[in-house]
Amino acid sequence: MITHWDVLSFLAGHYGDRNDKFLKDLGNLEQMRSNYDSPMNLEDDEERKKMRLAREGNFLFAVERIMDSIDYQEVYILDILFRLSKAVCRIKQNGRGIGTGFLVAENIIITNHHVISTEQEAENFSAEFEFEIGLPPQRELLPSCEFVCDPSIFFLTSVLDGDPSIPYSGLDFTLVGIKSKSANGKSIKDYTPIALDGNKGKIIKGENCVIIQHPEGKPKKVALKNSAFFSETTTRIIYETDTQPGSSGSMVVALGTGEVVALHHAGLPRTDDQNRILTKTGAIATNQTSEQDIAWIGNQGIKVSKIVEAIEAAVLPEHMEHGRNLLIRKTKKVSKELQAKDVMKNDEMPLAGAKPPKETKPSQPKENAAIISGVSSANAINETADFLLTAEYTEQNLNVLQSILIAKYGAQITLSLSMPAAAVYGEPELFFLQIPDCPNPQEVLATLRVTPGIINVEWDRPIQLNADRGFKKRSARRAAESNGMEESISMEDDNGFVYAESFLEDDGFGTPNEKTILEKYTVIQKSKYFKEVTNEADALANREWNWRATGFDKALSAAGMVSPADAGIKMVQFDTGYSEHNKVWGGFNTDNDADFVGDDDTPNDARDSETTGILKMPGHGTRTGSLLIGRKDVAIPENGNPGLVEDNGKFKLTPYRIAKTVILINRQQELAAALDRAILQGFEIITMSMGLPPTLATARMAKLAYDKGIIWCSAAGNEVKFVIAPAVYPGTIAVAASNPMDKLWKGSSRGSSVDITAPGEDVYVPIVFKDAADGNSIKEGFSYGNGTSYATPHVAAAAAYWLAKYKDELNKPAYAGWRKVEAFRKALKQTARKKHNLDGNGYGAGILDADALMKQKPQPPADKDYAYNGWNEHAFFAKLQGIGEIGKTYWNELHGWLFGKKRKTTESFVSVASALSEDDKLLEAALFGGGVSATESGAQLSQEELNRRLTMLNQSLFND
Amino acid sequence: MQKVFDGHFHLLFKHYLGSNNKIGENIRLTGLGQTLDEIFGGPFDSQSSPELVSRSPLSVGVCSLIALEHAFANRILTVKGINIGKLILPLDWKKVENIKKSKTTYYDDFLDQVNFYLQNKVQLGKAPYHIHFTGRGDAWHKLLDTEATFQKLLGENTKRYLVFSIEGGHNLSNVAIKSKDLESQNPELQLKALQERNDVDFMSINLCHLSDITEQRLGGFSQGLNKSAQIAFFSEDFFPKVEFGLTERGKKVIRQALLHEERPVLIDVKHMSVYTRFHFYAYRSVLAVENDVIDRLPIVSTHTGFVFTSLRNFLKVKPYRLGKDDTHGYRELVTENRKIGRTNDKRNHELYANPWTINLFDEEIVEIMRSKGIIGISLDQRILGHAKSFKDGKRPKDFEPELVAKLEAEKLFEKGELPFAAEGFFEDIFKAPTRAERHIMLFCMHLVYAVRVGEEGLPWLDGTSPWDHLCIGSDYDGLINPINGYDNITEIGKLTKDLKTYLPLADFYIDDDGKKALLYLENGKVDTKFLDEVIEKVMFTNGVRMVARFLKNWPE
Repeated sequence: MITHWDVLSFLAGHYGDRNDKFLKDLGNLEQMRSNYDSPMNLEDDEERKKMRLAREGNFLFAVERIMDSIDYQEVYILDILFRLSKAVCRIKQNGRGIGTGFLVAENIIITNHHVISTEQEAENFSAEFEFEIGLPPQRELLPSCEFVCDPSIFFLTSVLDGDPSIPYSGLDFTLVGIKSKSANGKSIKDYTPIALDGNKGKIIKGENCVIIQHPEGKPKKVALKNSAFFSETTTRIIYETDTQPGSSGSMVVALGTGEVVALHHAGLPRTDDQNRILTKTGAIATNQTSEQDIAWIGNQGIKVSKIVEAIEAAVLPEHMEHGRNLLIRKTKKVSKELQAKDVMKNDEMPLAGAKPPKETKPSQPKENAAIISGVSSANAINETADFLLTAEYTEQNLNVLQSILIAKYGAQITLSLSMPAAAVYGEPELFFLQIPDCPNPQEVLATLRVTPGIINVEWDRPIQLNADRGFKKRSARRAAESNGMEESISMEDDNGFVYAESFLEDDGFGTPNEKTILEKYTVIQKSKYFKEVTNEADALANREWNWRATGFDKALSAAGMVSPADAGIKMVQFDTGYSEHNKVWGGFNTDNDADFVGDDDTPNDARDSETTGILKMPGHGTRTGSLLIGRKDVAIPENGNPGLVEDNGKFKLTPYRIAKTVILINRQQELAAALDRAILQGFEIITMSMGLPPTLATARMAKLAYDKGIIWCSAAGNEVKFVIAPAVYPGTIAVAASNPMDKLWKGSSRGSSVDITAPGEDVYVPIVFKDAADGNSIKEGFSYGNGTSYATPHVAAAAAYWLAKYKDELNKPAYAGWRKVEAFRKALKQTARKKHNLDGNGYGAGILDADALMKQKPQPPADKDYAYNGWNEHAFFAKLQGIGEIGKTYWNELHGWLFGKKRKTTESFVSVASALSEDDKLLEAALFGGGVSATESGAQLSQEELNRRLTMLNQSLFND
Repeated sequence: MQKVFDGHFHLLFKHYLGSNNKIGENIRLTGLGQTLDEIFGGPFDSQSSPELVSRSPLSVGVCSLIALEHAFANRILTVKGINIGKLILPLDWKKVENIKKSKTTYYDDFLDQVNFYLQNKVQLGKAPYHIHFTGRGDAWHKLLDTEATFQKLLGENTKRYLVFSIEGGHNLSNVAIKSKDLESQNPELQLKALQERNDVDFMSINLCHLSDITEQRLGGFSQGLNKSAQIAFFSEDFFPKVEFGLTERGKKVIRQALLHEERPVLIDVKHMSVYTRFHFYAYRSVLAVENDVIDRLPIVSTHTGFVFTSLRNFLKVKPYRLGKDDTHGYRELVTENRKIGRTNDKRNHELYANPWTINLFDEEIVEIMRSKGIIGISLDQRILGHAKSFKDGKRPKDFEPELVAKLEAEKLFEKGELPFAAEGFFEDIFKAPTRAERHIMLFCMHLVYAVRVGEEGLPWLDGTSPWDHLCIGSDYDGLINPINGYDNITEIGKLTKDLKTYLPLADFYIDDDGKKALLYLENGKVDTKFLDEVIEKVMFTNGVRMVARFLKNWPE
């Protein structure tokens, strides 16, 4: 809870400079009224005007009403307002009414961040519905219903004071779950949620809005007078309506359409030239000044469109996906409806005040009702579900399959080749199936499994990624700092050395840790790659310890080395895209880069959008890419560890963006599309420093790439007990991680599928951090980080040099297709350094020795060396189809444990388990006995148990 | 007799593939074959065989070598499941089957064809052919020290000199044709091997040809076969589906081609999709920053037509509809028919260009001329704009749809992302050629149009003009339908006379605010001296100069 005065002070400071604009807009509104002019002349956003008209069922009437001076409208607006009012609730903290909110999904309410600020304090809040005064003459308080807030169901917040580097912060909203039963036993289902519509055109400037609110915590009120919307900022609308403290979080409704347009946020005070709040007399206001005495310009509300965008963009744990879908579905539905409207297809807007053309055909009233009463109709809309399936690619089979699918799921389904460039007619190929309005993907999956023509199928649902994240939670740290405590999160290595959990913050910034690492390897223990720093050369040498550990230092200075850039070796990186960090600037190929993340407007640009703007936040792709193409000489303090194939900027790494963050891959189809493009483009090496659980699609992809002769270097996995996909498949090159003691990194996966080990713990990579001096400006720098993510590029670089050196030889038919991969694997393993401190097994042939590798000429593989010999594809896919969905559920749950949920400053989450289908539950019981299921909410499996079960599943799949 | 230069034709392609590979005999179908040949526009009979060449005015030319693509071999003349081709076409079916059934590689087949040429080298050098293959490795070139000397020699000599080119990057693939599993990862190495041979030398290479080479994609290609040709050779691979500009593999080939120190090979942009061509121009400029040599290596388009507008204008005006359906990986582009002239036929009087994007846009004409390159105008009536004869001059609103790869279509024709171009043009028609003259008029209009675009787009020094960059690129024996009256290479000599007649007409019809491609006397009549000069250039000297520069390995 942030005090009302603090909110006003923030607004004064933030928007004071725009007073003149707001006042000018207010003047325009008054002029419009005095001239009896049309709101169409006040509104300057053509798109908004067009969409406003598109929302009207009776076009002629609407245009007259909006453009001319008809003040009346259909009477059903009263029904709508009444229904909307029922969703509005009083927000109480420890029994005291302090704000307003409203129900926006089954059991999710929205209010301001300054009302409910944190997940922790949310538990002390409740939502009271029907706190209203009844009809006269009694005017009695009606019986209300109070539902306790439960952030474990859903919690997403955007702070009041936004950080420009963090998208969607500063929107001052909190979405929080509430219990399904009230204190007096009433169900939340008795209240109809108001679905948010993020599309434009719900209101135009000059039109009136209505605020349904609990001012000062009083019984529900509605403000109907003097309520025009007259100005705006990018994220806020400004309107006249009266409000008071306690109205924060109220519903702002457009009177013309009956749609919620904003979340009321606060009054907008007038300010002086120093942005101090003024009273009506012109004096400087203080926190003692009464509301009535403050000089108001108007009120501010957060645009619903921005809130919906924030919800769409937030990276949520899987258990909150259902909530997200509920929150955004109306926006999607209305968007389609609006685009279908004639007025949206016409570039020409009717002139303000002009009559609509006579030939305009009024649409049916029921269409209007469908839009306005979107609350109930939206509830019936289901989400699109995606599936990946294997089927024979023949016209006949596809015709049959398509007919069945259309008959079952409607004509709107789409079935397309998952990898069209690589597809071979007549062969079993991977297809991508989308079923819009899919009621229950798990049930559909069960049906698809027995559908004729489908060989195997999986649900292409979001899967957590395994990569080097381990974020520190900045919000927790801030809380700790504010309590005068040091952050307590730490880890202990084999030698008892305690170090910070991670150098990365959860908001994308990092912390330099060179001093700690130096102590770790020169004092606590002695690494042969580190020495005390007496001069700059020592520091540089320490930073590139990984070069010496892998023999790259010798390899590159040896005679006969061929530059991969000169030899035209082409490498693609499947990761989160590239950034503008100066360490990697110019090293990424931005000609043929690509973005495969769905719903992105820039399919030809792999730029990590998290990094755009003035502030830079290098993502995962930048850190892993730096190990390959990081510039040697760059004016960043404490520069070091140049890219292994950098070659004075000549070598270009092509970035394919397959995920927005290291947290989640939304669809495997996006990975499939990336591989398809990589094959088409002719890349010889893929480096992929992230992974998934074994899935049908990734298994096919790995084999396809292998057969085509693409060397796919893959991270073995972090913090899990087994090797992840695609590294686990026979066709890829799996890389585990070692540290400066030549030991296996404690967090590295190990297993029989690992081919080689390379430095992955405490590897020097680029970061950005906030300047300690002012706490705001951004500095580029470096830190030592951990992950098989960092081990993988070492092997990719070695592959590039080896392919370059033996290019002519490898072009012979004896090395066509998979034989080239096997020749590399063989050489890699034969030359691996055997002298090390890797203990146990499962780390492959040893540590990468690039120097020895370069001296190893290719040897033509024999047929018996084919990695998929003995691979019973049918049995594997059958088994995987059986247990794959359980595996994904466990996987997502385990990664929630391991890496925490996505935590930007503006977001925090609590985990609950994901659901399995009934069939999968039976299978789970059969496989693991009747113990605790991962599906039981509130009774989650432990991290160890999830790891154990996933390891078992992997062993059964790979007979390991 | 007028000496002729032809910038693109195939000398022994049909003999190499034929069951009768005696080079002194022509391939000629009989009976049903003859009928079919006529139906399809005459692509099967010889058009530029050695025998025909021996009776032609051809003096210098570029002979293109190409391995038959799988898309053609898959079902040559299979109609309703019956392989008519096998019944009537005098082909070496074993060779065709090897391609069809993936028993060979394109590179091997290409090398085989090179050998076939070399095996016949001696015989071709003798009477009556007097055909001599030449290249930068030939010792006699060293005796000649200037470009002018070359021109003189080549111009005066009674011998015919041919240099080689490679049509299609597929010729570089070293994995089994249409392989399901294998990828040709390093086609540049095959090109390098060809560049380093002493017995054969190549002036240019087309990155693409008419079909999708699934095992080795170098860049997007344009759909080139129209409906009737697709009936003869139906294959999904004729439709561009997954292309998206130059691939990284394609760039490797371009680098290898242009940056070979001894024997650079020019890139011929014919057959690339328009998106890929513009990608190439951009990539070439990037290469030029690091490598000065690029600036002296011209761009060529050896057998092309024009869209008769700039791309910028095309994307702005959008005289097309882009289909929504992308189920098969491509989208249909339906472009409006656009008049570029007329004949005197009362009913069938209008002349149209072919708006398919396989043809060049204005910006490209300028780009090629700026690079000191050359544009060979095709003698294929389809490329020039001719449609079915009975309704050619009275067309529906739209030209036949072409298919464009989905991603390229979205980027270019939907989003309009390609900010190049000079301003578009005109059209105003006063008088007309006869109905019978329509094909030759189309040819002349292409020449005039290119000159106008060149004049507009570049500064020209005294003694130079856009006329210096145009030549003939007949594409004979490239499975084309030649323009009326020019069925084979023996008839090409009469083009001089026709150009004299029709170039002024074309210059008259294409009225662009008084701008003209030819010079005129004070009395308004055409300056015939200038006309003769430019005809000589188009017919011969431009091409000869190009070959001379090639033989001198592209001097500054």
